[in-house]
Amino acid sequence: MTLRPVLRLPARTLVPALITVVALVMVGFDHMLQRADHRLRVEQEQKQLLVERLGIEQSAFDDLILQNRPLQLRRAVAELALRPHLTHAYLTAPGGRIVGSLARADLGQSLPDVLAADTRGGAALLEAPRAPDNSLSVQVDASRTALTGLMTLEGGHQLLVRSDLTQPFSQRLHASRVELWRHAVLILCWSLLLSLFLHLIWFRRAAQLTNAARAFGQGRLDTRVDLGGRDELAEIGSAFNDMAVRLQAQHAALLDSERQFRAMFEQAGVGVARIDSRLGHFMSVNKKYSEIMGYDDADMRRLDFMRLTHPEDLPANLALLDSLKRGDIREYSIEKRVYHKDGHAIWVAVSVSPLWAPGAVPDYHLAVIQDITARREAEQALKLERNRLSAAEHIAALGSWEFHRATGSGWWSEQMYAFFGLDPADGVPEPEPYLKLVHPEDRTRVAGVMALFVQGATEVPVHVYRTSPDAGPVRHLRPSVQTVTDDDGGVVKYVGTLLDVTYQFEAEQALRASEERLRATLEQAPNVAVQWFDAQGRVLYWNGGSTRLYGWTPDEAIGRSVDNLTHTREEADAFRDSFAQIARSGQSIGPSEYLVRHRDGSPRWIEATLFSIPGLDKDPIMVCMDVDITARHNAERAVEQERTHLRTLFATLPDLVWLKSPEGVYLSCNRQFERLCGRAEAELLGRTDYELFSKEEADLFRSHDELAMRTGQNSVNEEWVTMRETGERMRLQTIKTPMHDADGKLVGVLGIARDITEFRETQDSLRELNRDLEQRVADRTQALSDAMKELESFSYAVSHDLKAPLRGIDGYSKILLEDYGDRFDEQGQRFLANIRNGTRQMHALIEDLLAYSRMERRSLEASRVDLGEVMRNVLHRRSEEIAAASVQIVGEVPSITVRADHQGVEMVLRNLLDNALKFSRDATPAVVTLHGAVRDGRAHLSVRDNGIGFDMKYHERIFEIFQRLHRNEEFSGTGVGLALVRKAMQRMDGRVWAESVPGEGATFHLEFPA
Amino acid sequence: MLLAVCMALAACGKPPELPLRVGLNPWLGYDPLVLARERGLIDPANLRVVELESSSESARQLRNGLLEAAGLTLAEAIELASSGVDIKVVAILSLSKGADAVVAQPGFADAAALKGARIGMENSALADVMLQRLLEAGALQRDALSLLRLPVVEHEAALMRGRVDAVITFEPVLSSLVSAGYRVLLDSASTPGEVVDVLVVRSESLSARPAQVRALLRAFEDGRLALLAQPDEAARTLAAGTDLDTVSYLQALENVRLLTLEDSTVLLHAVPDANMLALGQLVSDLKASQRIMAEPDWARLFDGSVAADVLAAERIP
Repeated sequence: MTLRPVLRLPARTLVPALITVVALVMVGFDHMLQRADHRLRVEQEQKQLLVERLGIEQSAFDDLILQNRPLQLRRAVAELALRPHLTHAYLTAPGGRIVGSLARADLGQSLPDVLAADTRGGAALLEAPRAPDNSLSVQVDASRTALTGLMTLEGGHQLLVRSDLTQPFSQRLHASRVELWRHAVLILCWSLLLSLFLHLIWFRRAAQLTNAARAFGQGRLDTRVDLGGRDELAEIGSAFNDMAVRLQAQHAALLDSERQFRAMFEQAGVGVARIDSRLGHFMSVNKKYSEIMGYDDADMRRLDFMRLTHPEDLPANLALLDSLKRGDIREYSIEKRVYHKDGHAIWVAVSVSPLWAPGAVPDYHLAVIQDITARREAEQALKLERNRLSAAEHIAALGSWEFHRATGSGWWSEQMYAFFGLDPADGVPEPEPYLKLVHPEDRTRVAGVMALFVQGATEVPVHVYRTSPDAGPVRHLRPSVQTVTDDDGGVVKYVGTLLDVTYQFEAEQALRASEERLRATLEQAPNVAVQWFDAQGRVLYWNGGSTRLYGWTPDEAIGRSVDNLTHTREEADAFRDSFAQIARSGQSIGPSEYLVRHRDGSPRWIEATLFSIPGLDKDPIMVCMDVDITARHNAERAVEQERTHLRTLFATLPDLVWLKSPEGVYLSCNRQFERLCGRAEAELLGRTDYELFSKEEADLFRSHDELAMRTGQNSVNEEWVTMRETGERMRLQTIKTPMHDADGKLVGVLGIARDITEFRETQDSLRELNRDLEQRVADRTQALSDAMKELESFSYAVSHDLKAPLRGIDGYSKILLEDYGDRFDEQGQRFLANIRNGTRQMHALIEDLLAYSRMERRSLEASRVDLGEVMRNVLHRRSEEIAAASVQIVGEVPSITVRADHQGVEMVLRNLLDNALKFSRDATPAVVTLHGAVRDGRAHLSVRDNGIGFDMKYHERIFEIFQRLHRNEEFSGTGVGLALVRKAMQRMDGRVWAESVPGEGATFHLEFPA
Repeated sequence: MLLAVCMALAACGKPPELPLRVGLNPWLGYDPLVLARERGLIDPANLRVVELESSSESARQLRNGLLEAAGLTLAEAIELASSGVDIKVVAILSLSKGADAVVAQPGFADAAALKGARIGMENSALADVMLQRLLEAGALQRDALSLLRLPVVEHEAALMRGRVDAVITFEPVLSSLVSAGYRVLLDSASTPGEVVDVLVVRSESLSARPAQVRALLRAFEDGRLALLAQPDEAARTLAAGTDLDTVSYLQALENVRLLTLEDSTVLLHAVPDANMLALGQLVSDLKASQRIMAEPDWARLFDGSVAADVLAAERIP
């Protein structure tokens, strides 16, 4: 099996055929599925019909038997043949004798004999199950081709019937088949239409396009296609035309170009040859090539390039050619020696390009040669000279350069390149890249000089400048410049040198930096104030730290006496004495604390060290280094104060407070804790729980401590303890908190305990009370729920059981009206109509009751429901009634989405709409107004009518089940609808209410949760 | 593709056809059809013979569409057609020559004696025609009699229990009453051409199912031939449905003239001028008893073509 034959089909056949086949298969499949369903339905229908028929006949037969009227009985049985599918009917008297049948010959015979002789399926009646007295049993026989019915009648009579099922099933099947074929024909018609459409719109034009492409492929480049339209095909057509125009133009250009290239090849100033890449043979050479090599054209074609190449240059040449053939390189150029016809070697520059396409097998390549023998020789001589100069410059660390003003170009000696870390092969850098090689700080200056060069200045300033750190180690270069002028004095070029002076510069720099560092250290020391004094106590040096400490700037302080700086005269004297002592002993003093004075008069505590250093004129300089310790002084005092406060609090707290080390040793406790232990704090400190409490208690306390330390969180526990002091037993709630120092290291466990004995007792009694209450509520709820369930299933079962006999009444009265209608007089007809009317009402009532019961029992789904959409559906379903009653529907419900039960919402809206239609029946014109909105996040919907309305004192009554404000003759109904609405809204957590004035209509409001 | 469509339509075929239901009241003249059924001369899938209680029931079910064909008296057929039911008389089956009669309690000597009596009769056109004859014979006014409409199967019981003084009835009840000692005051032998039994078919069934109608005529003819060929044996079969024994049954049958298919065809073609059928008298009787308003369109009512077709088919071997 292959799809190839299918793929050979054109799309105009294939597409409609595929659509047709798929649709037909689906329709056929659907038909197959329905077949089984038909059989079941036919069985049910026929069974129902037979049951109804026999049910009706039963009393008639019983009457005839009781009145002993065999002739009528016989005819009544024979009349059963009117039922189209009934094939057998036997009425048997006690003993099995047939007293009524569809065939006269059967009369008086024994039923088993008759059935045994029957060839039309009657034998199945023998197996029909016997029903108890006065009952009717109808069953489908084993082969499912017929129904067998057995009815027990008065006086031991029995009626057996057989009704054929094959015929009604065939009829049903036929109807289904007709439907199937109608679908199939419809599908085929659509397919035809589709093929036609596709052919006209698409395939016909696709064929045009194909033909054009084929013609174009055959070389008719002037082919164009006109498909019309603006769809994809038209775009393809247009693209094809564009392509054709372009290709035609390219083709013409190609021809032209080929002619030009051939002329160029022949007349080129360089030698050009096409060479076989595999063997190296010359395939064709131009005139110039022959000239360079000394051979004529015919000679060249007999030669290959390997024979002409100098043996020393050949390997490199072949290696390059191999790379070219492998595709590693795209082309190459070399300079090599070749042998002229007369035998001497000549230097040529050769450029080789492949003539094969990338990736193709190499076949030919193009070689372009130039005679460079003269150039090579000159270059050799020049190179020798340069090497000598370069060696000299390198030794002197001197580079030389030139700048040609007219061209803006320059020349550098090799040493110049070495200065800037450049490769001489790259040539002299352009001004901009050159500036980048210069140290950023020197760039502006160098750029200025270069600008002067460009302007042709005769005087040029000379500065040492540095190379950029990006270009290797920084060099300091000292330039020199000379100008070369023309006859008019204009500068033709600048020549000069650059001398590397890095070593000298660095040595000078190191010395200066060292001094600067020392000074900066003194200036920047944040907390250290440094002052120099002369022997008389006058300030010689004043650093930034001193300005911050004393408030004087260096300019103000220098020259000031020490008296201005100390707090008291005595201290100034002491300071001076210290200087004298140092001068004498040559040793330093301190550090010692002094009280000094800030410029604003405030006192400052400092810690100072005094020593001397030699001055310039050999007089010693007194140095004072001092640190401001005022803040430390103040902090120490504040800490002492806080400690006092805390201790007071600790002692007077009503709770028990203690602190233990991580190992469980008591570090501190308050008065309350002392009372617990019956010992003073001094006795407790240094002890553990094991020395103070029993082993069990100590274990417990310790485990709580460890828990708090392990988790790093508060551990809250309740424990019973006995007060040593009073012997009182009490319940403590203890909170243990791990304590950490500033570095986060665990330093101990803080315990706080409170007496909660009374609190817990109250709580326990409350809890007991609550439990009791909850139990009572649960018991009552259960009882209520049971009662509700019982009530619900009762009403559901009652409604269901009521429906069955009602169906019977309805069915029989219908048959009565149809089959015996003409036997009733007018009054009989009216009574029958009343019975049917009553049945309908009762049916409606039961349906409503069932709906109400279902609404109570059913579990609701909370799905997203669009109120607008549901309202539209309900209106659509009632469109006939609305049109018939000429009711105007004003307004509409916008699309509001709520979470609710879809069926519930639909039922609510349907009931409210029916209600509005019913009660606005007599209004002219009847108008029902719909409105929907979202308010405060809740969906609100209203249905207003202009009907008879009601008195608001009945507001609650109308929502109760079976409560009606009007007699049935005025407005029919069951009195369940609005109760159902309220029940549904309650179950969906929503709300319904109404507003009305008698005679002015009513408005029903719905509110759904957000 | 068009071919496929045509094939599809052809494949649809016809829906399965139900048998043609023909309704008969207990009139003896219809028994050839019953015999054909009992003898298996009928394909049950093609034709179903339904025995009903009365001719009015036949007419009603024919009107309601539960029957496609029925055996009726000509009077009933005319009445039914006049009431707007589209039917055709396709065969004339029998002529009554005494099988319809007025039977009275032994105390009534003649028709005139029935003045003020209670008469049991079917609610049918034929019964009204017989009543008309009775009124004429006894020179009675219609309101001189008290009429009780009863189906034929109840006639015997009504007379025996004294609910009525006389009944207008027909075979096989007639024979049964006569043998029980009741008195015949008037019978159809005295009204030739008025008590005629015909086969009526709904027009729509005739045009939709002509083959089944042909089979119906064929079945009656076959039944008639079988009855004549072996009357005793046939009587044994058929008497079971009546309250008669074989002898009485055969005697009762003497009062009925069963027509051949040829006779029927000839008569149908001669309508409305056939001498054997007293159509004029019948119509005036029906008008007198207010059963019909006007004379029917005979050409529309009678259709001899089916009978002719059956005959033609018979002649081709």
